Amino acid sequence: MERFTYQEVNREILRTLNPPRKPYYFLVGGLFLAVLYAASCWAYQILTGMGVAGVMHPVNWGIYLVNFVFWVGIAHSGTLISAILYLLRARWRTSIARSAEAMTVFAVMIAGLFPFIHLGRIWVFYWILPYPNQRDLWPNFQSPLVFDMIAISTYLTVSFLFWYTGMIPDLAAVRDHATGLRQKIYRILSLGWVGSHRQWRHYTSAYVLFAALATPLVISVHSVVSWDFALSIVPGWHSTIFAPYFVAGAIHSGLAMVLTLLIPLRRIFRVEKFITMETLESIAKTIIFTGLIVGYAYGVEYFMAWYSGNRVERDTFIWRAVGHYAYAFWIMVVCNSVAPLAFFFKKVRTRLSSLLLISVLVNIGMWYERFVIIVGSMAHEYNPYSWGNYAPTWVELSIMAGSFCLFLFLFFLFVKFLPSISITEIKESLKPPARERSKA
Amino acid sequence: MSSESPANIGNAPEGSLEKAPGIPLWLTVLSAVFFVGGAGVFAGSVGGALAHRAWQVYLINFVFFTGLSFGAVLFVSVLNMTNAVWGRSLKRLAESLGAFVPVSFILFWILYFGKEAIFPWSAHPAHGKEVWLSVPFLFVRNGLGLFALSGAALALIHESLRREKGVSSRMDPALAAKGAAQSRRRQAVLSPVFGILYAVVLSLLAFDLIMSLDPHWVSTLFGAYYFIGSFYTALAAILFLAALTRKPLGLESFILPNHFHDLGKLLLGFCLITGDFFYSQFLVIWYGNLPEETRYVILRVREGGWAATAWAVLIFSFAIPFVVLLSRKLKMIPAAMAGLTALILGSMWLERFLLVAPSLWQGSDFPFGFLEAGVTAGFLGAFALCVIFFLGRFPRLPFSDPLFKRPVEEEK
Amino acid sequence: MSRFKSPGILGVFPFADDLLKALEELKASGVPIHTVFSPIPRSEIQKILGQRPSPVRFFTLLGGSLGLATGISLASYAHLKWEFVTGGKPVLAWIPFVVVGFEFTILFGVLFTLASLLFKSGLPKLRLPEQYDPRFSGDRFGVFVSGSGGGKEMARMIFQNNGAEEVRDVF
Repeated sequence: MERFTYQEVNREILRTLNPPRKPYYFLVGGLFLAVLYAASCWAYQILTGMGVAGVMHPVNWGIYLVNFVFWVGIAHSGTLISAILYLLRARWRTSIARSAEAMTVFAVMIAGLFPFIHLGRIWVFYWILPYPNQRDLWPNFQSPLVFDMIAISTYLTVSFLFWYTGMIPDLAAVRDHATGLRQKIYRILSLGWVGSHRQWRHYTSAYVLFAALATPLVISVHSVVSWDFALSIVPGWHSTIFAPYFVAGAIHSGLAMVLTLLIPLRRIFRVEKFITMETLESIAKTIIFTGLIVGYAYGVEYFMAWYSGNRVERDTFIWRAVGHYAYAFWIMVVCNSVAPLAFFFKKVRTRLSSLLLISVLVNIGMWYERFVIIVGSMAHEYNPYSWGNYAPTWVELSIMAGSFCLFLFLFFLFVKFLPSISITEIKESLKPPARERSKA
Repeated sequence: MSSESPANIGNAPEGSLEKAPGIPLWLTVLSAVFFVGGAGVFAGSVGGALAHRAWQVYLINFVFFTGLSFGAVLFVSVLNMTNAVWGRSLKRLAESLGAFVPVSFILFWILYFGKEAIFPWSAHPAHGKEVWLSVPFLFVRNGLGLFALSGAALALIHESLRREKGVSSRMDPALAAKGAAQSRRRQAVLSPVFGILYAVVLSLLAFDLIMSLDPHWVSTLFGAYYFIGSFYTALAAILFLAALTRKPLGLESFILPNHFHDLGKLLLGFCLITGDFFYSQFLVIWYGNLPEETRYVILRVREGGWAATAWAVLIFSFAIPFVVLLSRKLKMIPAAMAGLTALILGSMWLERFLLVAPSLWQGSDFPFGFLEAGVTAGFLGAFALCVIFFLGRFPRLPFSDPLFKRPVEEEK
Repeated sequence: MSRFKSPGILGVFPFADDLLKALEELKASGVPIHTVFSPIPRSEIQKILGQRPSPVRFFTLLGGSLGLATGISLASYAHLKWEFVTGGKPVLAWIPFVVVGFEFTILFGVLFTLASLLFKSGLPKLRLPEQYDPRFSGDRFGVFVSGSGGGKEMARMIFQNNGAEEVRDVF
């Protein structure tokens, strides 16, 4: 990290909160309209029924659940970067932690919407919550779907609180820089933080504890999501490797999303001196690692399908590669495990264009991976008479597009209203201002 | 990090820390006795009625110590890949644990002689798996894999040691710097190569040597469970070695309580990950309730002797280390960590026992007695001899590593 | 906790080493230090002020334990209500309940940690104390010594000797 003064850090990062120019308003407005459109599609689905979606026997879980798993996966890298890398004391996380955490919160919120959308009779969603009722009905705590409900709501709560707590000192910095109504709003948001030694003492302790608690949580959440599938006996789903495989895949897609978002961000806000090439390179190297894990999982699954001699298992895996959804399978393999290998070359991982390209490819590949696993397995189960294909309808695709627009919409709002780089942590990584050094 | 000159060593006086006067002779003798005794016990049993038990415990020890050894080299490889500074003082100790690698390669081939006793499918081919589970193919592919992995491990260690010679013999600084840079590049390439080979080869080893003992049982996570568990075991062994050799080898000023704290945290992390991998398999198999899968687990958690072992492993490998490693104070006491890691090592040995023995053992009694203790002692002796040999010949600290600095006592 | 109205004297320092020297001198002369403001946490400040590690972690432990108990009890209670054998699994199966217990442990652990953090830090607070200077969230450090009289003058002298950019009386 270059030598900055504290004042420079404050100034540069608070500058990103200045009122935006016209293109921003158009972009945000457009995204909002897209979200409204998707919401109206959802309203249409609620009024008309689930038949407007493509889900039908045998594929009862369609792209609503593909998107659910996809967005939970995206959420994971945020917690990885802010919590796990914090515990491992990796320096390159400092400038990207706040945006990554924001990404997590928004992604979990959007992921949480999809089970509702998939539910159809959304007005009875609360039946899955454990609350005392006059018929003494309770959810089945052995069901992975109930695990999901508990895990996702815990993850949403914890990641939101972690993100918010991390921002409190930064919000104080914004408050002290602002005037008028803005100052009042940030005064409330920063909870009256003054940076006294007492407050810092408890804060630093609490932050480490948050990170230590968030780390096993993030691993458990995507393990729980993977168990939605692995605890069944559907061929291609019932596999012990699913938990670590999904967690690695989640981090893989999340890191790629971080790259996709931050490369334009650092250019637009001109914060290249904070989000340095070294940071981007470290992300790229981690993507190699997660890509290798995902590739290993593909290999082991295929090997085990063959080794087990189980006819149904073998047939499922062969069909994945050559059947109706073969295109999705090959996109998945090439984008997830082959493309990131290019990052072994320094030239590739230090060039913005190749970083952006490969990160987009990985995101596409990871989406298709969920598609191949979920739709591909359900379309081709035990009984040949029950085999059938699935194709998403315009309603499902509109809602999916809306989810991406919602994510970008929230993220755009975030970067303009809240400090997207952690002011305090950047300052902590610098040497404190000292009289001797200033003389030199 | 460009100063590659001998002055990088810090204040270590020339030559004082480089040879190891601190390894007591009695330890070497004891290890040799263990080795010879163990070999004798083994050789004596393979001919007789206890042949099956002998080969069974040989296999258990082989997979345990091989995994441990390669896991230690993985630690070195990870240090290189992450450019971590905190663990540098432990690098050479980890490499010393990797000294067992060539011995393990030789021990692998001895398994061939026990093929009837070890592999149930050698006499009765497993239906549908004849191609994969055939003795020649198994030995060829595992032999090649182990050869590649051992080669990568030894090359990595060699590169790390190469520069020490340059530093200690006070070569021309320019030449030393050039050699150092070249060595660093090679380590930077070898480390990820080793990492990938580690995952692939150890998975293969697990599938072939452990999972195939019950030929009709499969678990996709089994290979990863084995190599992550081996890494956990290796971390425990590194910590154990560090705690044990701190005083005798004069490393007190280089391996501080901070290092124990950091390594303890890493150990806690991998304790949790190994436990999580175990639970992932257990939950999926329990929940699916498919007879071809549950058979393996039910045997190990319901039948008397095995069930007791399973509970012991759960408690000593996971529950107790989890609770102990949460405490900051305890992590920084070398003696406490030595005790805990010894417990973990023993318990992980039991874990490998639990993976292998129930699949092979046909008798009604519990196969744990003098024979097992003897053969295990033999392996332990061989392993200790390798470590002693390594630490006796090579500098105990990676002086020539530019990321190695005399650590400053941190205030925490 | 800082009270709103406490008279005293505030020293504003642009350099951290000056601040630490001033703190040490204040401590040596027995002047009670009320609050030290800083834009970032510094372990040296905590050491000079003789602060032990924060007790927040005990709340975390408490919350975590409570969460584990809650999760397992909730799941067990719900299952004992109807005693169904679903999917061949026993009524009370600890294996899946591990997941439920684990999630509740984390949730309660985090909530208790946050609650204790806010409580111990005196947050949320509507009004900032008089002695707070907006530059403290930027690049200035501050030391506030409360009281009036001898201690105050002593503090003023120490501040001025150690390169305080500004020394302000707070009434």
